[in-house]
Amino acid sequence: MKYRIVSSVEVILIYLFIFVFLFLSAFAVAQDQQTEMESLDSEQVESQNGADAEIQDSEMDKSENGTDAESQKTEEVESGNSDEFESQMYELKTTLYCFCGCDRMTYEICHCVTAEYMKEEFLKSLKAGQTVEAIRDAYLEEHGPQYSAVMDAEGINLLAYIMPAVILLVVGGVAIVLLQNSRMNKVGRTQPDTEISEEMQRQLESELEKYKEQN
Amino acid sequence: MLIESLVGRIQEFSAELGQAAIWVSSFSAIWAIAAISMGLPLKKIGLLKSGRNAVIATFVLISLATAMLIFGFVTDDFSIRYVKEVSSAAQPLLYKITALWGGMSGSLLFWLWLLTVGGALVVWQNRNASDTLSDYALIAITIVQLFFIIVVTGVVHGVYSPFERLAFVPADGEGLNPLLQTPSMAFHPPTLYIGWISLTVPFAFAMGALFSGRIASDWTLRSRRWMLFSWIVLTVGITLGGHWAYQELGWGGYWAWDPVENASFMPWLLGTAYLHSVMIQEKRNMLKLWNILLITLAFQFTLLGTFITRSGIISSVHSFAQSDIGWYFLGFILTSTAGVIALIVYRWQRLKSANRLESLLSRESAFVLNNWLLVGLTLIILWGTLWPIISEGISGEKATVPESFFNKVVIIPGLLLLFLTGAGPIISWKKITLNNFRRMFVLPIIYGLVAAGVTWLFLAYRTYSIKVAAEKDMATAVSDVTSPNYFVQVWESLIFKGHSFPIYSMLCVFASVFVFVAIFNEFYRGAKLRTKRQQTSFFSGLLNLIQRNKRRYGGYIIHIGIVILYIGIMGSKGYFLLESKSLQLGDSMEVGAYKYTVEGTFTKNGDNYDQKGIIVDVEKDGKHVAKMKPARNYYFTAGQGEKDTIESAIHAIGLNDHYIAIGNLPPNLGAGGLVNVQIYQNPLIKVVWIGVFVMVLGGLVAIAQKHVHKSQEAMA
Repeated sequence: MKYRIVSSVEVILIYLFIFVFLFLSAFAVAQDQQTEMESLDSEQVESQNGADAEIQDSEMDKSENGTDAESQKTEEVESGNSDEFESQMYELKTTLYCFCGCDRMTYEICHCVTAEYMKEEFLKSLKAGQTVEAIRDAYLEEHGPQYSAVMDAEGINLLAYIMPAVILLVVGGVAIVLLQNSRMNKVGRTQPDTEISEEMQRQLESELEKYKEQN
Repeated sequence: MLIESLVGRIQEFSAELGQAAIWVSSFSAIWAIAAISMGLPLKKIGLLKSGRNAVIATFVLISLATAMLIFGFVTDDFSIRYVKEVSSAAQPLLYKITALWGGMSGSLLFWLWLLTVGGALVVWQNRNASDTLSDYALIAITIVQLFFIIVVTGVVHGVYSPFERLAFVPADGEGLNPLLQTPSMAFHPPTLYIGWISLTVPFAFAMGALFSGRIASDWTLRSRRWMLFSWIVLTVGITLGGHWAYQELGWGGYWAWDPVENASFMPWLLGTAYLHSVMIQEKRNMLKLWNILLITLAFQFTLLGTFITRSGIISSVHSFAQSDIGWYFLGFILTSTAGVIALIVYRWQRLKSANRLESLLSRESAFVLNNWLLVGLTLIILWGTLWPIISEGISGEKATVPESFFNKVVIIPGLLLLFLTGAGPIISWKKITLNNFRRMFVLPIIYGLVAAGVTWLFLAYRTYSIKVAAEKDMATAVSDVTSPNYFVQVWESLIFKGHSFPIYSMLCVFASVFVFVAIFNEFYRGAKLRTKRQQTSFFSGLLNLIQRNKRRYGGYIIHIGIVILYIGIMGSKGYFLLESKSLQLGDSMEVGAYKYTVEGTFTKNGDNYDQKGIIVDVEKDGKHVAKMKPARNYYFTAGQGEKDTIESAIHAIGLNDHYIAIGNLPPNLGAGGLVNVQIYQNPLIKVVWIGVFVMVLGGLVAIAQKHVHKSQEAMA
């Protein structure tokens, strides 16, 4: 039986679909990178000049739409309203893990006594004029780098981000090699399963015997 | 006094009996392996029968040991070290029984017992089989059992026997970890264990096929229902774990890519890949080697999960029981892998496929692509899970891999996989034809594109609305059409500047609608045809359609469940709201359109804990909506865990959840003291549970089909 090849228009449509998918995926990844860059930029400006219009813009981005999760997150710490430090506190709480009994929980979601105490300490440090980066560094220096909830694609961690793509390529390659090596017959010819079960073998033999007896 | 003495004697006897049963079971397991291994080449039916009986005897002995340990729990026999460590007198009966798997030694005994149940069921299922495939499989199952028996006897370093006695009898036990004292946790571990252990049976049949040299589809057909059963139970087990995390850990989520979550998810992914690729073996006599590799990997990953969980090499919120045991598991994984590789090399010629892929646009190719993504995802997750050890090995510093890493690296393969969920079932075998493409693909693609377009406009409008809401904070106007900034903001909203999730959401909606329409079309066409042929109602035609090929249509139902699950994940992970505040009595906070007011406090006394919490009144537009009661439980004893647990309050409105978790309650709460209150609004979270329910339903339909013939069209 011959099959008609799909028309060139439809092949183009399929390729177009794949292209659009990959383009949108790449665009989404680029958006992530852009957000990270903007976040870094705004932090630098913040530490140098205080709150000017640019910071306001960037803070709005961060507080309303700045994360992938599109979550709107606000915080007022125990000492009362602290909108001034809201975005810095948010950054600290989402980028550091609590170190006591709440494994892999950021300060944003952790409820333990240590977490509540540490959040107060972060706010005090911010009010004392320390930058987010300085507080983060001091925290990680004291408790260890494993308490960082951010894994930037730099240094040794770049390898962690590259490997998934390599894994997909390698698994794809292995699958192709296995399929290539397993070719035994001509294209398009379906080979029946040559092995039969012992049960079937016995049944065939007994029926053959019966047939011989009858004839 | 006399009664107490008598009870003490009975307890002592039962513990000794349990220990003896474990020791004797090691002999019965060894005999089972020896008798069957000798009986097969010598063709001695007597030896084979004796070996099968030894498998049953192992089951009886381990059942006896398990029953004795449960007896120890129920009668508070704290002279047994394990009972003392994970139970207490005040613990409710349910949690005394579930303490069986609450620690290391007991969970291993429970695992072993389930393995022996599996072995006994294989003997029973194949009691009338006239071939020897199941006998070969029994050798493999019993080797795995023997490994567990050795571990459970307590002879290996780092694990004590579940019946080890203390030199003195403590007045009370230390109690089960409070985090495990919830209904979800009572059933989550056993379902996972059952799922893992039922994976052992298909693996054993694969090994049986390699031992015997009969690599055709017999072993896949004989183990098909075991594999499906394992898949269903693992699906339920993983979801129960997620549900437990959602209710008990107080962070408003159900999945955080924790190492132990990953350890349970990886065998599921491999099992899913196998369920698809095995159909190509049955239908086209291809991928024999690939299927053997997949089922071996799936089985090995169940052990690897245990290695990760129990060795303590990677920290996890789930690491309730850690010791040197993980390293024994690693040794067993490596040894058994070497054995499998040797068998594969030995049978290399027979493992070659009889056919080949004819086109990249065919159902076989879609299944191969699906396998590529599922196996790729598994290895990516493994990579992320092991990265802390790898990074420590390279740089000396142990990295912690955040949830965001996994979200970033799995999202694109995950979306491609979703698309294949719809494309696979509707594409032709061998090669796509023009007719097939037009008939099956065009409509779903059009619907998908329309849905993605609507989603784009909706999300762009949402992004713009958020900007407008924050207009007062901005230097230039957003909503003023005469302002140059207006067009900039509209444009940035349309391209979702700075945000990736809306783009992924569009792709997710496109793929989901594509899959849904494709599958719906399959049901509709089939049911309509039957309605016409049988002159019956559409509903009867639909039921008849499913009845005629439960495997295929059960699979389609699973795919619909997966679509629902993706939508739920998209909504709950991407568009939740979270606000956190320290409040005193009478204070309010607003989240979205709702207002939450702390009205008062409450206390409650349980059997082995005290509960303290707050009463929160929820309002919308001034109208009362609900009263929620988030709390903290303070347990009297806590074993290896923390004494207090978070008891989140969850109130569902439609498909969305309002979720409140609180910090520790200060003694002066009524007198100006503050309590930390976290409020989540989780959209579409109910959809996640509905999706899993539909997946399980589809699995049950598929497993209801008793026999599958190679000629029968495979499930998509």
